[in-house]
Amino acid sequence: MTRTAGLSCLFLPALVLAAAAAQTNRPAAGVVQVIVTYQDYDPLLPWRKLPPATRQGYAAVIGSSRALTTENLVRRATLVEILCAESGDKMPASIETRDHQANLALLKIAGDAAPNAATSRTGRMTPLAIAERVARSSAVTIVQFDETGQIQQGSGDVIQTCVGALDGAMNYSLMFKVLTELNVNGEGAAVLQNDKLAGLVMSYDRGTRTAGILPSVVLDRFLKDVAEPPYEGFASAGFTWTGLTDPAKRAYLDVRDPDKGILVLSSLPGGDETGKLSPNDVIFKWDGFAIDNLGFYEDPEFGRLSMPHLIKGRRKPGDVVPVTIVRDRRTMDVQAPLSRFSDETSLVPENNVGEPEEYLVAGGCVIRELTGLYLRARGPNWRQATDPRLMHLYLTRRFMPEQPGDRVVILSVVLPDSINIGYQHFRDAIVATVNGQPVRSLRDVFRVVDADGRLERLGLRSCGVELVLDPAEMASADTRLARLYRVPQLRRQRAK
Amino acid sequence: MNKALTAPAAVGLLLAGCLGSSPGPLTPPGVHAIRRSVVKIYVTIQRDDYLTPWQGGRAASASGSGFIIQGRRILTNAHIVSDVRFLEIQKDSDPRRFKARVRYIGHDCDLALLEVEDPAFFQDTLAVEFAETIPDLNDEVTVLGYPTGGDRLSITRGVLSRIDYNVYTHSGVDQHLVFQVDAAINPGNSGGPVIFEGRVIGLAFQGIAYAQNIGYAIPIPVIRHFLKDIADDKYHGYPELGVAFLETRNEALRRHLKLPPGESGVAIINVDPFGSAKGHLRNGDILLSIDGYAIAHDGTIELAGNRVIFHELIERKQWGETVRFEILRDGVRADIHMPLANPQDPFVYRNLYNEPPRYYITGGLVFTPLSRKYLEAMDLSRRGGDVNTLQLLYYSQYAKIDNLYANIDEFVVFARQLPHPVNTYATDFVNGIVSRVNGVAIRNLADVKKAVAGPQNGFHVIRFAGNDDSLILDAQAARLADPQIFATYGVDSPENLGGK
Repeated sequence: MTRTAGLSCLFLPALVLAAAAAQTNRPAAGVVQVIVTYQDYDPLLPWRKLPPATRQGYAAVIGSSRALTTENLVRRATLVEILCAESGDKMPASIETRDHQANLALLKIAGDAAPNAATSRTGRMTPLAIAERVARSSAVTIVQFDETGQIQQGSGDVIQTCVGALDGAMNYSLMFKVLTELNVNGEGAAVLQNDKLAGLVMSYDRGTRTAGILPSVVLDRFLKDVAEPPYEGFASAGFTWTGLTDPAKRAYLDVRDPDKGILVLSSLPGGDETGKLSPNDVIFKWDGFAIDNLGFYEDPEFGRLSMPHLIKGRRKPGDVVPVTIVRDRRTMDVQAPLSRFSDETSLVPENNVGEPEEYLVAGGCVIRELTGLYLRARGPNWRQATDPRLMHLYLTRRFMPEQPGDRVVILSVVLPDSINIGYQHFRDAIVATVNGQPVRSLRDVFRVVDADGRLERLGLRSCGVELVLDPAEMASADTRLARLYRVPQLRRQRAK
Repeated sequence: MNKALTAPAAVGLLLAGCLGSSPGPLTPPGVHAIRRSVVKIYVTIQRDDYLTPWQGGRAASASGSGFIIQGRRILTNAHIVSDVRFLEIQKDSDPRRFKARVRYIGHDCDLALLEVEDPAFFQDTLAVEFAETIPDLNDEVTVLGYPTGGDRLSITRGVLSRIDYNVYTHSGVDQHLVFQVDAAINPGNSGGPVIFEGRVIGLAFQGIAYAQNIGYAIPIPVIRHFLKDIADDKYHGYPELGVAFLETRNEALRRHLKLPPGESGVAIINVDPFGSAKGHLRNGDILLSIDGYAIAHDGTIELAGNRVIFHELIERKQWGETVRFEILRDGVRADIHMPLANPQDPFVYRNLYNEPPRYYITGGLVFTPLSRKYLEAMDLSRRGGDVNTLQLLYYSQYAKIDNLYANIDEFVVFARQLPHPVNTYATDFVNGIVSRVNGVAIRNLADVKKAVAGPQNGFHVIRFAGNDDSLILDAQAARLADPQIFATYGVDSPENLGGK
């Protein structure tokens, strides 16, 4: 942002008024703008990085040189800078803790050497206290900056408490919906109530003028977790379920209470097998709370809420909760273990956070694992643009590896070269064997290639002949390919 | 040769819906006599409605072209006379229309042969003659027919632009030789002859929307194949080899496959369980030659001075004939004599015509076999993103490749919900592929009806592929609701199970 002297003069009266307002409005000094330079990896050619770009949002100052914002805002950040209201000074910040499942990140703002808080750059910031309780239908204030860095405040009303999706299929959280007249211009904007931090803006819908707010109870939980390392995160129960509203289905399952119970559809792999729920279990009571046939319960603090809050909001990983179920027409009590969901356990990980993905380029064959990030790289119509077989695996089996650690290994593309003549049309083909040995993950591929010294043969699913690469030509071909296609590293393998 | 389910979307058939004013025709030299054999075909067709399979679709009128061949027969396109309810033929400059009937129809090659009972029709007509050879590229050709834009015969000229293989959109999956010409071919030209030096070398049949000067004709070898096929009074269709192959242009691959230096061929990577090659060829076999013609690394053979894909020799054979392959199997040469067949393949998803859609309805749930027509009726372009629809695409394209068809005669889809209180909660299951009903594994549509006869503890329990949830219906309530549902939605028959 560039401000000219002329503009400053023109808006001088407004600046004075705004500054005066800031002096009398200390909570607004607890809001800072976050300027993030980020750089994503190319989801299709994993050794490439996309051009760096910049996005802006907000953070709430919550302690000494600490600020809380959304993880989404600082994802793949190469530089994070903090800008105080009514100031052109940018302060670098680092990411101290991040949790994409909660969409929260704690930033540490680099201080300056000035001992006097009044002259220190970080001293201009006023930490916000976390609001203990925010009631439904109560009024809140959303604080953000305008394009010149001046504070904007707008009032809003909490119109709904709900459990809503953050980004990613498994990431749900307690959310407030706030109806506001303010045109919210960035995520992470602070929501205040009685000068305390009542929540952070996660999303905003211009059409309905409603903002999705991650409320203070979730923020508080995150901060306390951070304060007591190791960070544990939010819990998951490891099963999928559906409501049980169909009277015929209830009668078939012999569920007599007309208003209670949800149906377990599948149990996800991983976690503690003891006490795991099974398909066709009907959950009546979870952790002491009666569950209705849509999966809601009566929360003593927030009223009617969907069940995931009982798991993510009221418990933590490692807890074991009492559950009353009907299994095979018998009512019984079981102890359900909770754990933190790990994307790594999936057959097709989402990689929503854009972690650099592992790959191997050998003889021009680009071998990698299927991820949600890779699939979505095909654009808005990615579901239709993807090979139906890969889409089927993603939609119906992504959480269900046959064996722990299983992944879908694919030959994503072939970089044309004389060594791979005749194979260059293969794309998004599932790799079944490498050098004649079955592979169930890229780790297997690395193991085989390292043991054999090179990739020589590639077996693809439903292709009855292996693709064979000339072993005598591989080294020179790889050198040539790396130079021609500017592949700086022919493999990326994370330490396990 | 069959191709995958997806056909070029922009390729359209050239059936005229309506006709306008009539400018005077042009008459190039050499085709004047042939005018007398080119006829206009008027049809009323009624396509089946796969969304409401218990009733016929809307009837529509259209017109196309055809021409008289030896034996007082009229050759035209199958797509003009498929699902026809009323058929008339008119000669150029003759006000009379003659009633006709379809004698033979080949949907895989988009050809049909018509008969006219009234001998008066053939007065002053001339049977066209077929060319013995294929013209060269850039040879001038003339197209005759009755395209949109007028009532009378139209004659256009252009050149033979390309000889290629392409999908015949009428069936949606079959791929044969095509002539591409740049003569104007428009809706209504379908079925008209393409003439070179006074003889028929092709029959106009399809074009590409949004492209200029590209029209396609069914070439004379395909026409001859059709006419030879029906010589025994029955159309059998093209035999299907049923293999996928990998080129052996890669030297390392050739060494690995023990292909001797100087030899060439292609490696079999997939054998279709419904093709002629099943039981004769297997993965890893190298096809060295076909009927004595050496197969190159890219799968082509040299035929009459041209390089064509080796399938061309299969294309020239009839059902029941034999093809001879010389192969290399595990480094050993062998001769394979393979009878060519064209067995019923329910998983090829060819467009079906003249066959009312099969369905079964209970409790307001409409079940139907997965078919190309059903997928088209769903309008995938508008609803392509939901899980069930994407699964239908996967099953339709990978049924044989991923062995999804094991113990399955046909995939049965819960196609539609006729809303009623008895099935209120069925909505999320629409377009799901039925795997079990009341504990019975479903092989075909008839199995659904049989399984419905045995509810479990008074309930119908319906399971779907790739879905952990089940659809439950109160069996007695469903049975009692059926008459009301049928009356409400105008279902006059709750089933058409067809032959299975």
